[in-house]
Amino acid sequence: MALVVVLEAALLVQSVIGWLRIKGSGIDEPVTFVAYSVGILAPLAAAFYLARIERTRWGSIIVCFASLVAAVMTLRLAALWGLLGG
Amino acid sequence: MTQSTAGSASDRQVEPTGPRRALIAIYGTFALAATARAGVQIATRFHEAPLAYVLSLLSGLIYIGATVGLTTRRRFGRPLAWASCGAELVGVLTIGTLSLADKKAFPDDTVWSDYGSGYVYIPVILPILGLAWLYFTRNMRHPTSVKA
Repeated sequence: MALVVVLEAALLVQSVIGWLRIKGSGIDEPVTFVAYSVGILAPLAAAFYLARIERTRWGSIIVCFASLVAAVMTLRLAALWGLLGG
Repeated sequence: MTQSTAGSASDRQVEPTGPRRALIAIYGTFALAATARAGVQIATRFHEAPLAYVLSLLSGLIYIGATVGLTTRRRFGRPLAWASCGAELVGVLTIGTLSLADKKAFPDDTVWSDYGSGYVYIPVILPILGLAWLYFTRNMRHPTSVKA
C-alpha cells in the first residue's frame, strides 16, 4: 500500500510537470491531455480506498487493476505528448 | 483470508463483499472511460462517425447503470445490474459482429468494436463475470455491515 502512495505521488509530479510545460509544447489536443493528466490520479486513489475497506485478496486484485489502468493512461499521455511517434 | 459465508438467522449465506467491490472498480473505470471518450468525440467530431459515437455514449451509460446497480443497496440495484450487464453482453456481441461485417457503418471505433479488442477484450469478458456474479449470489443476503 505504501507503494501505491509512492506511485500516486509520482503520477502527481508527472501531471504537474505536464501542466507547467503544456504551453509552447505544441501538442494537438491539450484538453484531452489535461483531462487524462487529472483522470490518471483517480484510479489509484479509488483503489487505495477500496483496498483499505476490502482487506482480502480482492483488495489486491483491485489495486492490480488500477495500476494497470494507470500504466495504460501513462502510455496515452506519452502518445498525446507525441513521444511515441504517433 | 476469506470472507465469512456462514449461514445466518435467515438461513441464507452472506454475500462476499470482495467480488462485488472488484466489479465496481472495473465497471466504474469503464463507465468513466467510455462516457468521457464518447463525450469528447461527440463534442469535437460528431459528424465523422455519428453512429459509432452514439453507441459509445450508450455503452458509457450502460456501464454507469451497472456501476450504480452494483453499488447501491436499494431494491432496484440488482435488477438494474442484471439489465445493464445483459444489455452490455448483447451490445458487445452485436456491435462486435456488425463492426466486423460492415466496416463502412463504423468509420471510427466504438468501445465495443471487434468485441472490445481495443480494451484487451475486457468489454466482452466483463458482462459475463458480472452476470455470473449476479447468478451465484442471487440467493445470498446482502452483508449487513459495509465493513470488511
